This record gives sequence, structure tokens and C-alpha cells, in this order.
Amino acid sequence: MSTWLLHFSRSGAARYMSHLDTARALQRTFARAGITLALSAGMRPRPRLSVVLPLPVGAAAVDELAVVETVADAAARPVTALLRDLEATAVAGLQIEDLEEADGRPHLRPVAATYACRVRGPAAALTEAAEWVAGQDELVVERRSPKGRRTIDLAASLDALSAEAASDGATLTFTVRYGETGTARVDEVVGAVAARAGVEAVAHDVVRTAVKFAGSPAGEARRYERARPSGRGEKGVDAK
Amino acid sequence: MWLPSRPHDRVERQVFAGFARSTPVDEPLVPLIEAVHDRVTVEVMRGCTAGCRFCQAGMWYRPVRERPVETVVAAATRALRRTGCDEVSLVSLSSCDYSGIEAAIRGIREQAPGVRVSLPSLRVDSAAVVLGRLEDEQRGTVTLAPEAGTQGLRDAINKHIGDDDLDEAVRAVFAAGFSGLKLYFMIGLPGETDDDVRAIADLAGAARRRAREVAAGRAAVRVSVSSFVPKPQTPFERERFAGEATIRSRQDLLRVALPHGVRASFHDVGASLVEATLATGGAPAAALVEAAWRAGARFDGWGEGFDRDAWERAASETGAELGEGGQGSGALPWDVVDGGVEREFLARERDRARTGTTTADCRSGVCDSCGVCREGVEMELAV
Repeated sequence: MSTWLLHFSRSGAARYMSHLDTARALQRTFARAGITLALSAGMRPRPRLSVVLPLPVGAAAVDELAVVETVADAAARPVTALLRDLEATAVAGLQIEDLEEADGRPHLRPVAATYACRVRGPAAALTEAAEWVAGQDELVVERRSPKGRRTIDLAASLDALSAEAASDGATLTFTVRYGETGTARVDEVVGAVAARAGVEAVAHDVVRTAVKFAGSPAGEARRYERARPSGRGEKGVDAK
Repeated sequence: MWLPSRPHDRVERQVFAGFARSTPVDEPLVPLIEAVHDRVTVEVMRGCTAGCRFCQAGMWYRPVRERPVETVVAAATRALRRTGCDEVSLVSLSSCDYSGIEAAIRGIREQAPGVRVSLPSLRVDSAAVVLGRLEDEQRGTVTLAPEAGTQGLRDAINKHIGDDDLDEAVRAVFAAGFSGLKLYFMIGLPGETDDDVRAIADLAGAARRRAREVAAGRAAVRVSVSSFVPKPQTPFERERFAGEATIRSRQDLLRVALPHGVRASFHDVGASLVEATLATGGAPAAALVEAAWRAGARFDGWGEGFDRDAWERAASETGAELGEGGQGSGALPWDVVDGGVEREFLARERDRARTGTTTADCRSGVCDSCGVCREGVEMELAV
């Protein structure tokens, strides 16, 4: 059995796939490429492929990570051949970027994720609002879910929020950190900026541009940080 | 084509005589979001000659035309490779009756190891054989359809199932590793008595005991009960719907009689009334449908969308009586449609139902002259 780190990007209509549908589409991509995935044990064996950090529905991404386990015969083929076959059978919008063999089974823990999105409105007001949000020591918002309501302090997990004037508004860029109590969501960050700027809280062209992971089975502080592969990431961004 | 402006022009059903030699769909679309029946499907056979007298599909889609085993295996293998799916379903009206079923399952397993092969429905009398082939799989629930509780009523509807067959099938289901069994029954069948309904509970109880004996704690037996609705082009086309009061009283009878540990679900009586009215309705039924739509009826096939009040208002407006009436002995609204099966055969089958006489499946070599076979249209078996 071999363990692999699969790097992929998401764009176009594939942005609207859920986390589970994304994982299923990747599993089928492997099957079409003739690469047999290892199965979990138990009553209902499942292919061993997990997308490490779920993407928000509607968000594009340029470099996501999945951990994949294959049966032994896959490792006997050159990685370039595996990549070629995966790319040839990938779903439109779910682009295979890279495949690297992992050393053991990595237990990756997300540390931070960086997003970019566009918000419509006066650029000056949005820039001022982003600066104001970034400067807050505490910014509490209410989160509703089927389990009820709870409050979240956006400031506790928000880093490097900035705004840059765009044609019909501003492009927000920010990083959210992952802690024990979760993290801020894109719509919550955008909502806080939009409320301050007095504009409609709608995020357009959301892209997750980077994710940082830490952790390994041995507890070694190993990081899987990659720069966007040159010339490949741009096509992962929906240009709508 | 039937035109309202020419209501008496006869319409002849077309039969795809080349089905057995045709290529199954082997490059299906693959949905990017999870869909119902999200797997490869290969149609192995068209038609069914089991001859269940209530079943419209069994009468309408005759004769049986089976695809060769090698065609089925090749299509399944190719579709699995093209889609990346890990499950293939061999579909037809009654896939267990496909004469090449064992060879097809074996062939697919050889070509695509690890792939799950599923069958959409299992007939009780052939279930054990097929389940034996699936024995190495871990699976969920199996559905079997005895349809009636007593041997007499099963003979009347031409279900060739004995109590021993069902017992053997239940044993095979749980011995094969399935964790659940669902049994389909109908109430309101022609000639049915309260004793027939009580016998459903007895049968379910026996299945539950057998299940616990074979599979201990993980065995679950459920009963699904629908209401008989007479269908056009079947031996029971001139029978009457049992009516709301009878259906409700028999549902209540069954609820009380079912043993502890057997869960039951019942088809909505109001929906059955509408189905019965539409199934045997002629051209005037179109006015009822339109009136119901105007009254707000939408997506009635979903339980949460069914609005009985809308149909009641529509019936009142158009003069229809939901679930009432019958065809008598005169002309039938669908006499203009030639489905292939001869009217004399349907009448003969109705007479046999009344005497509890069964009719053999014509696969056995005994032809009962249903009339559907003609030059170029005949039964084709894979094996």
C-alpha cells in the first residue's frame, strides 16, 4: 500500500460541488485512470481518499490537498504516468496539479487558509472598513446553525485582512487561522467588512489561494506548504 | 399516435424487436453531485412473462428479450471503466429471471474485481439462487414481494410462491449477510378476505422468527403495504378498487395483527383513490387532472406534496368520484390501444384468477397464447 498527497485545484462549475461530492469525484478520477485505491476495513469498505480541508461551496481553489492510499501496484508505475492518466480523466474544473508519494500516512492539521474575494461598493469605503475590521481586538458575530446559535470572535482567527480597489469595488484578501474552536468563515469576514462599509454583504469570485498544514504521525513539525505551481494556478481561478 | 380529435383511431404498441442485439448504454453521464441510483446500470432484459395478473408492466412489455451474457459483461465493464463507479446494477423488470444472471455476475466480477453487483428487485422463487452468488458481499437490505399472505390469494394473482419458498428465501437473505429484509404486500386484491390480511401478519412473523434464528440481533424485517389499483391491459382491468373504507379497515386489521418487532408502512389511502381514478379513467380523466392542477395540486407523487383536498375539489367540479366506479363488461376507454396481448387472454386469466388456477411462465415452454408473439417479435433468451 502507498500513500500519496494529491494536489488539485477547483474552478468553474466545480466550485459548487460539496465536500463529499468533491471527494467522490476524485475517487472516480482515480478509478478511471486505472489506479486502484485501497479500501478501509469494516462492514462497508470505503476508498481511502480524504480531502484534508473542506472547501466552502462556491469557492474556487488553486492548491488543495487530498491524502490518498493506493494498492501496491500503483506505486510500481512512474509518478509521471500516474499524473498523466489522472489529468486525462479528471472532471472539468477539478484539475489535478501534482501527486507526490508521502512518507507514511500523514496526519495533516490545517493551520491557516488564505482567501481572496471581490465585494461590490465604493472602494474607499471598503478599504476603510477592511482597515477598521483588521484593527479590532475583538469582533463578535453570531453564527446560526441547525444546532443553535453561538458567538464567534472574528478577531481571534483573522490575519492580514486588506482591501485593494477593483473595477466595481474592492478585492479583499485575508487569512484565517484554525484553532481548537474553529475559525472565521468567509461570509462572516465579508459580512463584517460590508456592514462597516454599508454595502451588500455578497462575496464574488471567492478563491482559496493557499492552505498551510502542520503535523505528522510522529509529531514532527513538518509543513506541507507549496507555492502555486507556476503557470497552472491561474487557470484554476474563475474569471467570471 | 392517439389524437383527441380522432379518438377512435386504433393505436398499436411498437416493440423494439432488436433489443437483444442492441448495445447497452456504456458511456453514461456521470453526475458531479450525488444522485439517486448513482451507479452504472445495464439493462439485461425487457419484458417479463411471470404473468402476475395485477401487473401492467408484465403484460405490456412482452415478450421477454434478453441480451447475451457477453454483451452485458462487456457493457458493464466498459461503463465501470469509463465512469469510475464502483457498483453496477443489472436492471430489468425482474433481473433474477434473466437466464444468464449467474454467468453475468461471475463475468463482471472477473473483469472488474471488487465491484459491487446489485439487482433492483428479487423474486422470491429465484432469490435464493442469486443470493448464493452474492454471498461474499456485505450488504444492506433486500426486498422480496410475496404480495399476498395466503397460498390461495397468491394463486389467484398468479404469484408462483409457496410458503416454503418464502421461508427458504428469508433464510438465504440473512445467511448471505444482509441485515434487513423488506416484504412487499398488497391489500384490496380481488377476492381478498380478512383472513388473507391476517395471513400477511403471520407470514411476517414467521419471517421475523427465521431471520432471528439465522442472523440473531442484526436481523430487521419490515413490511410495506400498498393498495391494489386495477390497471388497464391487465387481467384485472375490469376489477373494482376496494374503496377507502375497506382499505382503511384492512390497514387497521394488519396494524393490530403484525407481531412485535416488525415495522410496517402503508401507502396513503388518498393517493390510492386518485391512482385508481386515473388508472382506469378514459379521456374525461384529463379534465380531472387539469381541475386538480388548477386547484393547486403539484408533485402529487411525493407524500409531502400530495393534497387530497385539491383532488376532492377537482372531483366535485368535474363530477368524478375518487376511487369509485368500475369498467363493467362494456367497452373500455383503452380499447383504442393495442398493447399486443389479446383481450381473450386477459379474460381467460381473469377467469383463472377466480378459480385460483395458476398460469405457467412461458419461459417454461408452455405457451398460453397471450398473442404478443408474431413474426419478428418473439421471446429471446440469453441462455
